[in-house]
Amino acid sequence: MMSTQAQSALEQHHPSCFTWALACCRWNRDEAQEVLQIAYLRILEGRASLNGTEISRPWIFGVIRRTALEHKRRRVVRTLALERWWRRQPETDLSPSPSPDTGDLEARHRLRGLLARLSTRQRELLHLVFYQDMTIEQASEVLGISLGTARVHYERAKTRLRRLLTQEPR
Amino acid sequence: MTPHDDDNKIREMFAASRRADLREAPDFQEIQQETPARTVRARPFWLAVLPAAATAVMVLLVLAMLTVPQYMRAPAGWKPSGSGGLGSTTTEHQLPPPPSPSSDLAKDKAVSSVQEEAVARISARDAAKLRALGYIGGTVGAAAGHEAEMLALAAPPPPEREQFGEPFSTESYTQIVENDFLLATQNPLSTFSIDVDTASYSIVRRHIMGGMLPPASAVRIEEMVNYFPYHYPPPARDTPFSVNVEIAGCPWDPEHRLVSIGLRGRDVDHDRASRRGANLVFLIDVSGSMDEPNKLPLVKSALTLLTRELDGLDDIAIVVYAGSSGLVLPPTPGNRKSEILAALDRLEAGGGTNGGEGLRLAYDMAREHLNSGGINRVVLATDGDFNLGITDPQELLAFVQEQAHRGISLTALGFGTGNYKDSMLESLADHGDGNYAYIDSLSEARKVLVEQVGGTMETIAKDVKIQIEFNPALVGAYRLIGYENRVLRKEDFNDDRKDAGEIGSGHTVTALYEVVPPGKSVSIGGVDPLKYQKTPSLTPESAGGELLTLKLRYKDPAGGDSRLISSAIVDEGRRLEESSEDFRFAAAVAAFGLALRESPHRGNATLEMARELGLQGLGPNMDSYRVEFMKLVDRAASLRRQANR
Repeated sequence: MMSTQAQSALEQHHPSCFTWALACCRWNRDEAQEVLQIAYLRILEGRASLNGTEISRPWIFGVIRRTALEHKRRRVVRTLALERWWRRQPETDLSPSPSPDTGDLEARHRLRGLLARLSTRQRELLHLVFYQDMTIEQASEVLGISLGTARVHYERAKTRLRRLLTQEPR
Repeated sequence: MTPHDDDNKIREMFAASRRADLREAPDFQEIQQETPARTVRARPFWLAVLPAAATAVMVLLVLAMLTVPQYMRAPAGWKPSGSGGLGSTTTEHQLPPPPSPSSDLAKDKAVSSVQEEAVARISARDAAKLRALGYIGGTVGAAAGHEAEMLALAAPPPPEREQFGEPFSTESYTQIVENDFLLATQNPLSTFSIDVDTASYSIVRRHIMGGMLPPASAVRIEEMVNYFPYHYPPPARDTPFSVNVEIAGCPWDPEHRLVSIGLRGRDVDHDRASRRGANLVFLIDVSGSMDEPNKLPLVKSALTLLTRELDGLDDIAIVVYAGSSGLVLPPTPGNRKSEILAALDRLEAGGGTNGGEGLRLAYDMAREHLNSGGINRVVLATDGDFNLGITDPQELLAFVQEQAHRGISLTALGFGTGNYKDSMLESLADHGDGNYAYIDSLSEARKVLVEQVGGTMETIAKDVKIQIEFNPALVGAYRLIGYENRVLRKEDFNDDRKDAGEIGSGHTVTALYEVVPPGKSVSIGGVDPLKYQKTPSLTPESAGGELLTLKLRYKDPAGGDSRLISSAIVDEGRRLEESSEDFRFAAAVAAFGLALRESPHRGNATLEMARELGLQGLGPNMDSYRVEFMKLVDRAASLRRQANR
């Protein structure tokens, strides 16, 4: 049965799905939850096409990514200036986090600041490989691009991030 | 550093990032069970509904034009003022720089504080901006800062069902029968209780900003006039308030005179040492109907603003009422802010209404922590119905009145639209010796609860009554503008048992009389000329040139016998052009009210006149409330043009 199979797959991958949705929504938590919800619904109701492949993490990620894109498109259309202002995310803010829970939060904060300076594709690739521990091949599947293209973008992204890291004053 | 080291570093950063994210990840069940609507609400509420409502309003606007009868021709719903024809400026420029919450973890919490911060910043910039921009002719650009604030934080759109049709019929306003002209010979005495309520203006504003002219019965002119502070001089040391009378030509009838009577309460020293503290119990309606952006969330924000102003001398408690009522926060000193804010945060709407039980509980709490010598007050925040528990309104009012006599007053704060029971709230506050305000935006909440915290909280004189004796030698007829439900019998003036209005620290109260000189014709409602009396017998004093004698009675907040202030007023024959800015501004607001009400006594008063007078009364300081008034007048004028088209 499609939906029970899907259900258990989603349950299993849920934490990483959430973090991926978060990355797709530029770390806007509310938006990520909404996107995730719509994506899950799509998968559970069998509205996301499997195209012969099995339910796998890359496939679920692909659905989430498309959902996020659509969501963003819809939102852009109706976005008022006000909303844009409100939704501007902290990724452009490079000041250190004052949170007492320093270690991870600070690292995350810094990383988001750096990632904001990469292209979307580069950011997605780095996230999938480093954060989600996917192979470049799986990542290319998620993004719907060829393996070769993925490799090129991945290398460029890494180089760029490295440079940013060394440039950035500590 | 080798590339390999770099890779490890990147890997480590991503891993740390993932750890941080996963700690915040919602449960799978949570995502699955949430209905989409629920998630939408989890976002800043007004953002979620803004775009949809804007579209809905556009559609409804068109529909309304085509289908609805004349009186409903204007779109009934909320309309983002930024997209309106008037004074629209792109909000982007008006808004402060983006907030930058330091992490997602802090974001949820930050949202509310950022929102307030934004308001604070806009307000602070308002004054400077207004001065810089100037208020030029018909444009309303100068009010843009204020508008941005209203747009950003004012009542977000009501849900679609409220856009037009039925829900309006459940809003109730008591019909106002305007005071008629009275002959000075037959009724030389005019007696009324002061009124410092301001709700009517906010209600009118809500209607007009929502694209609809207000119903006449929602327009209470004295409350509109009293919404604005006036610059009357503070009183001499030992009196609680100063009395300021100004007489000049009446704008809407060149043959008439307009008399403005202005009181200003003493400013209570806000020196911490002399403060006696306040014992406040918030009684918050959390029934299902409050679950709208411009209701409970606004209540919470309003109380958050107030909480900041409290200190250890104050006690604050929160009681909620819905299906059942309960104590959310037992009386807590005002310096334990985190506890108070956490309690506010927990409030959620849901359930029916059981106001009566909540009310009793609130008064019980107030009594338990009675602050003798200080302020004891129940602050009711609701959107309307208050009819269970004590079902009989008379019983409810009697209960509130009895509590007031025991030293616990009641302030009513009205929120939201649709089911709004204006009349009930007004009489509750009236009987509870408190005041009544309608809160349609966070800026209004700031005005009522924070800027006037001294006024709202500190009563400096109570049972303030005014009695005017007109001199028939110089006054043919007169009319009290507004104060329809505050008129007292002439015997009540000297009767200390008769309740009247309170005046708070720093409050100004203004009353306007329109006076007709003798010999001029005026339509007097319902009274035939006297058959046996032609000229009244005049005392020698009447020849002294005094237009009227003003008598004022008040009691100390603690009670006791009333005191009397009395002074004779001479009309120096000033023309309107010679009057003060305050006088002209008050006249502008009155003209606005008369024109909105289409009062039979409006004379030449039009919205255009209100605008003209308002401009003259704006003053060099560009008071932002007054600037907003100008915008409201312009907007009302364009609505009226649409309606007449």
